[in-house]
Amino acid sequence: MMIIRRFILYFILIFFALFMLFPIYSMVTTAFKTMPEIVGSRLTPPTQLYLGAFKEAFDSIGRPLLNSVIITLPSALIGTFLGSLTGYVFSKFRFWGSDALFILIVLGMYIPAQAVLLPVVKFSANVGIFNTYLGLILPMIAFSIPSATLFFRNFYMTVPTEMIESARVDGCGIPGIYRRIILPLSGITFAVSVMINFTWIWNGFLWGLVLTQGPAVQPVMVAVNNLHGTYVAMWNVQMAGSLMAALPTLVIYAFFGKYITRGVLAQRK
Amino acid sequence: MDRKTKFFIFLFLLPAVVGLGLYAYYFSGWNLSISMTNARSLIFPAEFIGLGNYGRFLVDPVFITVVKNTAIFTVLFMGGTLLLGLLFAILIDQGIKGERLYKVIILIPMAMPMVISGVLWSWMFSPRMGVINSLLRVLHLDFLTQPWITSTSQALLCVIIAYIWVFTGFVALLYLANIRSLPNEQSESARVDGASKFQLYWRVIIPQLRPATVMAFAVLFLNSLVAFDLVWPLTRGGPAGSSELLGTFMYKQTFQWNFFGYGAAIAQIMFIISVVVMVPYLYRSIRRR
Repeated sequence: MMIIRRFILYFILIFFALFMLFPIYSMVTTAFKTMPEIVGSRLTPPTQLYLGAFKEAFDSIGRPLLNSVIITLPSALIGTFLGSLTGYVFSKFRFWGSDALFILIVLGMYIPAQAVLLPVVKFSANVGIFNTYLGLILPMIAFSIPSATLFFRNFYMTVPTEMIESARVDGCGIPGIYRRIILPLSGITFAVSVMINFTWIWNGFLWGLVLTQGPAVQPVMVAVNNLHGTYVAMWNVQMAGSLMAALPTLVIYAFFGKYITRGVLAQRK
Repeated sequence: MDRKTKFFIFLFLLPAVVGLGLYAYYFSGWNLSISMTNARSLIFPAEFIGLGNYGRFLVDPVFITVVKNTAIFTVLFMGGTLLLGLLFAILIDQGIKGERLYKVIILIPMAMPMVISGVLWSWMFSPRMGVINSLLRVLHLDFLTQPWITSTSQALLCVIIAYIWVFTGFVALLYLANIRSLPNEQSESARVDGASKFQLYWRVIIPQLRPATVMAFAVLFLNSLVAFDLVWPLTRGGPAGSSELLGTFMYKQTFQWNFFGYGAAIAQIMFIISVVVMVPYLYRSIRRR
């Protein structure tokens, strides 16, 4: 009875894992096949490692990959840093309107991108940052701040106030306390926040779609979507492009997924 | 608080306040004002038409279909994901070999960029060459092959399946963390009283999973409200609008057909729904500490 139960348990779990992995398996295997091989069979692994599809996809998404790096890295870093500044203030100081301000900042997380897209396009065109890196970096930083603020505030609440008081007695001002006590304590929190921000900015699509034109500054997700539109029947090229574009976040999740989920959990609890 | 402290608090908050003040609040106000015009161009001035665009919602049959689709999508996607997530959390909780690896595997879809998940599932669901129909043919189940994303009656279902695929692992891990954080005493005493495993979960554990349910609800609801990235490469809202959701409809109206006023009004509806649902959630989660 016990053994049958165990058997059924593992059977269901493995079936579910296969459901999760099947599209990924198909992406990876298809990317390494030639088109005739794909026409022959969609399910079997490739008989040889054909790299032509990667070369062809890279011709279209090479530049956008670089663009995504240029946009994502500074946005994720600056957004995290600003979030730690505001998180610090809201965890240790109370002043008139501090609760309301905190809620307004965190609420930014729940404003649908669609609700500001059109004004952002108009504004960016007016000030001449439409279709530039800066035009994408600025909103990405702004919309990183809410979750980073919440994240850091919850973490700094656990830093004992006595530590800060004693530093203040020793003559440290707020910037001194932030630099000497708060910042050195935040190493892992900082890293997790950067990874969370990196993931959503790198994976983002809609912002890049409306704020760029042509491959010069276009982020890679827009380029992959275009690949999907232009290489309609060339599934190997589409899959090779998808694989290359998804790799950075997949790697982050494979190694640090535990910290990220834990971070997300701590953030919302 | 001395003046120096006040100054530094001001300085630390300044970038966040300016950044969000502009990008989140000023722009959503601007969007509200565009939604009350008949704007069709970014340059030429538009006429103020009050709530005209909002009135159009009531008589635009396409919009009504879109709302219906979004409602069906939200209910089926959220229901399916919550139930499956809970089921797999309980199964993983039975103590399995390789739990750590398993957790990594079921989180992979969540780590995938949504656009790429859309491309992947369009390959899965492609009727002629696609992987699912190929699999069915190999298994000699030809009669089960479907038109999938090319059919007006199945496209929305395809979108829902893809979304469930993306979020189930994440929800399972949420529930699992919640189950593992529960105090042991109640489960112990239930076990001593001779409760079966089923009774233990049904009577003791599941009623205590409210925190995970609320959080999963918030994440899933927000994602179904703004759904775009995955739907766009998968079905583009088609065929014939059969999988059109608020997110894709807003994009088409605004950025493809240049009905800026109407598009802004759709976005405004999304904004209002999101704030109405999320503010109580946010307020509660902040108050609780």
